[in-house]
Amino acid sequence: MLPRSKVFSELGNLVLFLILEGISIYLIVSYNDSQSKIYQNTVNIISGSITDQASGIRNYFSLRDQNTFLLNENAKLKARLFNLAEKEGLKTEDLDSILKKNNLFNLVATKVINNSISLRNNYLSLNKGTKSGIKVNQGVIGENGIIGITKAVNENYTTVLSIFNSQTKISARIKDKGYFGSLVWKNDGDVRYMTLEDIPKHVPIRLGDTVETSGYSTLFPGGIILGKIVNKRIPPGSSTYELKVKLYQDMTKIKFAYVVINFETPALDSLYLQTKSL
Amino acid sequence: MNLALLNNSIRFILLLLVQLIIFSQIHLGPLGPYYIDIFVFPLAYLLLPFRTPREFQYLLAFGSGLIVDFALQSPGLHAGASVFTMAIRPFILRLLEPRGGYDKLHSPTLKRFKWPWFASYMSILSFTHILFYFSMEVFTPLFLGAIVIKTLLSWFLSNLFIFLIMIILNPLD
Repeated sequence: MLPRSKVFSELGNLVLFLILEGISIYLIVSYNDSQSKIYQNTVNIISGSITDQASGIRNYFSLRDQNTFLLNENAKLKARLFNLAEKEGLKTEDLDSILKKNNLFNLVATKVINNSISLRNNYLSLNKGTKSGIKVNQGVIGENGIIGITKAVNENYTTVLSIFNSQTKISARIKDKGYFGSLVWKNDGDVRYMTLEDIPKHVPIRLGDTVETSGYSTLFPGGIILGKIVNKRIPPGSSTYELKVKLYQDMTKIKFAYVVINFETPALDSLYLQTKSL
Repeated sequence: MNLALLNNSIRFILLLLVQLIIFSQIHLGPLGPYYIDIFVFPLAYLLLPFRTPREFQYLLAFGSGLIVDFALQSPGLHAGASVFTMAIRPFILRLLEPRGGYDKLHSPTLKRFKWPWFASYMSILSFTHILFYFSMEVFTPLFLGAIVIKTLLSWFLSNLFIFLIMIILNPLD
């Protein structure tokens, strides 16, 4: 006969076993790259529909707020359009035809059905997928800035690499100055700030300068306002700034997101491949 | 009593070192994508004496797995496999129980139990460990073929070396 445990009961042992396995699986999923991707995808497929239902119910209770929010955004956009037309001395119809001619970007409006901000690598889920024309590696923007980059897409759902993810790197520049660098998240758990890197130290930087997307990548259109610089620092031995940027976008509250579809991406990609093969 | 404790501790550490310094450096890949890994450190926790309290069995298995994990940069994979194997161990012991039962002061070693018993004990449990490890490494039942092939190859070679180590060291308890 096997000796019995003296410290815990059999139940205690079972609990210890479950706890240790739980820790292992948590470690596996959060620190191994391919496993975490598979996990993300599986979660995406299984819980996508469940979260969608739940968020549908939750949304029902905040319909009034959301309505006002969307109305305000709509009004803001309309005002911008009218001002633009006024400034250029155009009629609204002319503006439409000009926009049609220079059709570069299309936005797909989606609902955010799942959003993590507390992890080391954060992800979001959106309720639209390939059916709406979303592909992997497209930018996702919100009302006051950018949200992330699409990472995995199935028919009806999309997983988005949040800007609060160590893999995300956004090309950004300082407004009106033109110097550009990359915007990254330092994994410090604070989702109000990001860090702008690679700006040479001879550039005059003032606190309060606005940071916007550079437009040098095909993911995001240029000129989306992201935030303002609140702190500047040159790490010892470095020739570039480390700028702390306060984001205008509150990632904890986003309910809607727009996926940016760039019609020029395929052409640019093939051009890039051509130059690479030279 | 204290001697057994000392022996077990030294063996435990020695096996982990052997795994990390020698066997973890070997990645045999004669079959293309199906590289073969050799794991001998399950011996470290599988040779623990029967009298070891279950909590310590689990914690030691978890700890040894975690150490190997951090060295191989696969956090959680071996730790999970070790704890799982440790949970299976009592069932296998009950299955293989000899007439007269176990003496709780003994350890499941080759010297105590001779070849047929030890070979079946060790191969079943190392199979459990390796199967769990590769299932978690591949992480999706879609690649069942890959899991099975990797497990079988790795299991065969690992056991070869485990038995070799047992013959060389041949501890009593």
